[in-house]
Amino acid sequence: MLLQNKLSIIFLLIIVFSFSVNAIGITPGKIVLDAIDSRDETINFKILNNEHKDMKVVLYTEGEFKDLVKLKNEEFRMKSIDSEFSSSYTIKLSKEMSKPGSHSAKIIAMDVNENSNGGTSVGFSTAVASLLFVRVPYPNKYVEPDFYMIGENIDQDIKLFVPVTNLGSEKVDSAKASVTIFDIDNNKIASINTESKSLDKMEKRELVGLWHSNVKPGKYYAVVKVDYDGKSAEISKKFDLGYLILDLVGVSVKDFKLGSIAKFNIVVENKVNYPIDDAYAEMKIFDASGDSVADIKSPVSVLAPGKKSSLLAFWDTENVKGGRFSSDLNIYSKDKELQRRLDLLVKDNAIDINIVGYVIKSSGSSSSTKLVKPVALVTIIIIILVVFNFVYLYLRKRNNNSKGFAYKPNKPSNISNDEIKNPEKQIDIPDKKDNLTDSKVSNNNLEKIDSDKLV
Amino acid sequence: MKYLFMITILVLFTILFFTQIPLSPYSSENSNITFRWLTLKKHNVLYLSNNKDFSNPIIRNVFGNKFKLNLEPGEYYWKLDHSFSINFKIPSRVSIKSVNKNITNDGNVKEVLSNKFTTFAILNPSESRELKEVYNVTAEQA
Repeated sequence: MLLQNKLSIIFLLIIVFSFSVNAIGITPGKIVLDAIDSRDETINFKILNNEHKDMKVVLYTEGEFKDLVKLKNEEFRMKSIDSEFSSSYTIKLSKEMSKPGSHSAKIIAMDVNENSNGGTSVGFSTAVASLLFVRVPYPNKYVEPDFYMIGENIDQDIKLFVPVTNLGSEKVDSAKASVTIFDIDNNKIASINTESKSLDKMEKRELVGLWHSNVKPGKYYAVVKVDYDGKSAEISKKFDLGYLILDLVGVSVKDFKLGSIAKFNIVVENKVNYPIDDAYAEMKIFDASGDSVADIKSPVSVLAPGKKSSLLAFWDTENVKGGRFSSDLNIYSKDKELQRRLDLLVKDNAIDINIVGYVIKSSGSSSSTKLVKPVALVTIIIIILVVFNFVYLYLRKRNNNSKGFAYKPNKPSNISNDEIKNPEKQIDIPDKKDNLTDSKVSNNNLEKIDSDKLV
Repeated sequence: MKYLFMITILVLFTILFFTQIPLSPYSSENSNITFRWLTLKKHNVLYLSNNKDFSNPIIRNVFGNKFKLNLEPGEYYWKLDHSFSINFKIPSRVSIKSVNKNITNDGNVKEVLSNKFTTFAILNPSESRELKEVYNVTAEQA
């Protein structure tokens, strides 16, 4: 009988554990610190109890820098009502803490399974890690370049981006990149220079160049050389050009009335010589505040080779008020995805559609310099106008004050009205202090003289 | 002098009309980030970039005084067409849920599932995988 009971309990425990739910989270999942000076850095993080259950959490560290991390809590309990637990860790940073480069540590939070007696049971356990990366600067100046591009069509303007990061201990006054494009036979196709930018310690910026791709479709590679304050860094990357297989020709809505169902006719062109299977369109529609109002999809269809095809998507506009909307349009196929951005103006009898695409600024590289100048100019104008107003108001107030005195009938008994109106003619200004004893010059007269001098 | 004063007031009002002041965005449910700003202009252009040079921005025509966007965790810069820019971060969240050894990425970033010896799986947000013969799993940002 006793054995039977024990077996039942074990069986029940197996069932309980086999269907147990474990859940734990940590935020932020990644932190990057720069050891550019000596300091103690404290990082706050949260342990998440998404399933709202009682749990015991153990915190510990792993990785190269694990001994440098001091945890505030190493073990704690969360109740089912707690959705999160805030904690922190501290790390002592200094330029000389390790060799230059990136170093890491992990802060791990483990959900420890507990049995009913409070002891730890052996079984499945889950843990989450928050990654800590410490970047120790290289001596002097050290720039690390990268390269990417936007645009894959031939005979169009392609933007070349060279992200540069100063991983050195000194500021870089000027970094400039030259991108040389080669074909697979190592023939030089083009050479593009970017503008130059300064880089603070550990700062990342992007150098931009524009290339008109008047070449044949194919494989190419770019050699990127970044020159910075007498030093240089070089990388090379391969890329494909002219392999756009799908293109959006247009989007239109015909015979529309607000409140009815809008039929979006999405015309796409298959640019290759084979059919594209499983193609469909998805439109996510947002109102002027960015709130999602609809997510509509077209039926799946096959796009004929080298031809334009229509994909139809329907939007029920019942309870929709006219106005401006935007839409993320995605055309999905087996191995290709095309994204476009649409602006929609919904009227009573029509929907005006404007394809804005994922717009890239025509000269983003100079955008920051363009931005700073008008802002600075407006600030200067405001300061000048405010100063001018203060001066104007001050002068006006002083003018009023002096005028106010002139009209005050505060005249001494021995001065006539004519004397007040023409004081310069009537009153002799004393040259010497002794003359102040003159009976004709009273204190009131002295005040009068002073105010006249001011005017 | 009087005219100059009036012109000054007019110029100040004109500047005030075109002034755009972006405010710190806040996050709401489903990783939606709400951007807010102060301006008297009805139509503005919102720029969002992952670098302060705005070399490759997302551009949106916006109306009113707020706009929502769904963004992945990371560091961003945003501004309106004639404003200064504001920097903000969306923290990543690494989270897992296991039901009977069926593991789900409950966070907002791609996660690597591993133990001390090997990597079992890389999961996108909301993706699940059954891990048999596994007793300890640690999830970290990929």
